[in-house]
Amino acid sequence: MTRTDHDLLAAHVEGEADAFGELFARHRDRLWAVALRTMGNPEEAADALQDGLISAFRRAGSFRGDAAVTTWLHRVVVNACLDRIRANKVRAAESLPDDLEEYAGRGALSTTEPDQGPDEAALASETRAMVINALNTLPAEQRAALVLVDMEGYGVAEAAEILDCAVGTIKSRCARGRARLAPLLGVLRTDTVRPTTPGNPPETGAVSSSHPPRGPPD
Amino acid sequence: MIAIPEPELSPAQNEEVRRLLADARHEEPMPADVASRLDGVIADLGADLSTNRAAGPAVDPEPPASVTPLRRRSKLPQALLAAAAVVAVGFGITQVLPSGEDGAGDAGSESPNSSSLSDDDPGAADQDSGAAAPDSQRSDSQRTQPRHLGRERSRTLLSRVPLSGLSPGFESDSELPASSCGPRRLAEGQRRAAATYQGQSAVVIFHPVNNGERTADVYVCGRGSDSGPLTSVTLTGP
Repeated sequence: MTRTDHDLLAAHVEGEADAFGELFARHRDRLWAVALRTMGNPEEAADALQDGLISAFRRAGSFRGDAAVTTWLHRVVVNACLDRIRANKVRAAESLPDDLEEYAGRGALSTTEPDQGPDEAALASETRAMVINALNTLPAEQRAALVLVDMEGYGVAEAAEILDCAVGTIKSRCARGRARLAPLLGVLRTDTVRPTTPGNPPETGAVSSSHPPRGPPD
Repeated sequence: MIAIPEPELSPAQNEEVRRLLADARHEEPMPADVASRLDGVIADLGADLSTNRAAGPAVDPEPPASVTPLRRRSKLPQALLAAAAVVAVGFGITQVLPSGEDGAGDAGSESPNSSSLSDDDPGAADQDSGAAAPDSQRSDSQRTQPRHLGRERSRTLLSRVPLSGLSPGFESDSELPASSCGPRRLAEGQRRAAATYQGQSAVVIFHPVNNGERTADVYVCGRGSDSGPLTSVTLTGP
């Protein structure tokens, strides 16, 4: 029988050697996604996730059980991210990760859909990079709120629980963060037309003319 | 931070920003190298937990110095300070300074009274025997031993390994990629030292003294944690 997250955490607190590893394995991909988008680059994300992992391992006994284990894990990891961002504030303020292309090539940041053509994939990748870069310009708390709510799809209440703040604070951070992102993402341009496919628009037929066709010069 | 204006967004603009963010969600699994690294961290923490279990609760809210240091060397001074504080409380600072060890977890544990690798000193064999004693009989100092050796201790022991092409490696033993260099978990009394062997990153696992002899296993990094040692030798010298 599959044990619940609570069971695994309790087993870890009781001293079962492999329980925490099993628990982490269940959630690591999502925790990684949150850390990656919150930190902005894979190396920092891995460091922050390691910080959070160690903290969760050691402080499992402090888990009160009044929230989902995954919420608690996210809280620990996001806090580790925010701590690391605060500690490296100057570095975090640099909006463009130099190694974005390198990591995209390694698959860490690339989420190319398999059925996309090369042009569509390039456009999607370009848009994604633009969003990530814009996200990295936000204050860490706004970024974390947007990552949880708009990227990871958490409800505002759960995001508030993860970030240990009021629901209203999450709403405010999200609203202000989106407002800051909008000009960076070109959303404010009224003439913005987002093509669904790249390339020229489809042919609409011949252009009518009242003049007879001209022949070649004599 | 660049000052960014905060315009009032229409509902459509708000949704467009949300859509762009959702599309930029990271969908792929954790990269293998990160997963491997974190698995190694958990294995190390678990091994320490097993070692510490006899002391009381399985999860210590305020454990001793970290056994899993972070990647950047810039963290070392802070870690040294933290380790020094632990040592001062546990053993007394005067016991630590002569050991000349480095690394966050090494400073306290490599003190003369606690190291199971103190066979260079009188009574070392007894200490190794002590390390193999039941958990309930072990002292606090024995329970807080790290599995990584300090730089000086590594150099001393590695110099006694009769293999040409073997030399101390890495800046700190505690930076060893545990998941790809040798066994993930060490048995009682074993210690790990970073090395290079014939130009390749390697790990040497020192066994406790047995019948007056100590053996060492040499693992070359990158061969996986399940592969056995490249070679095993008996240490020479005093």
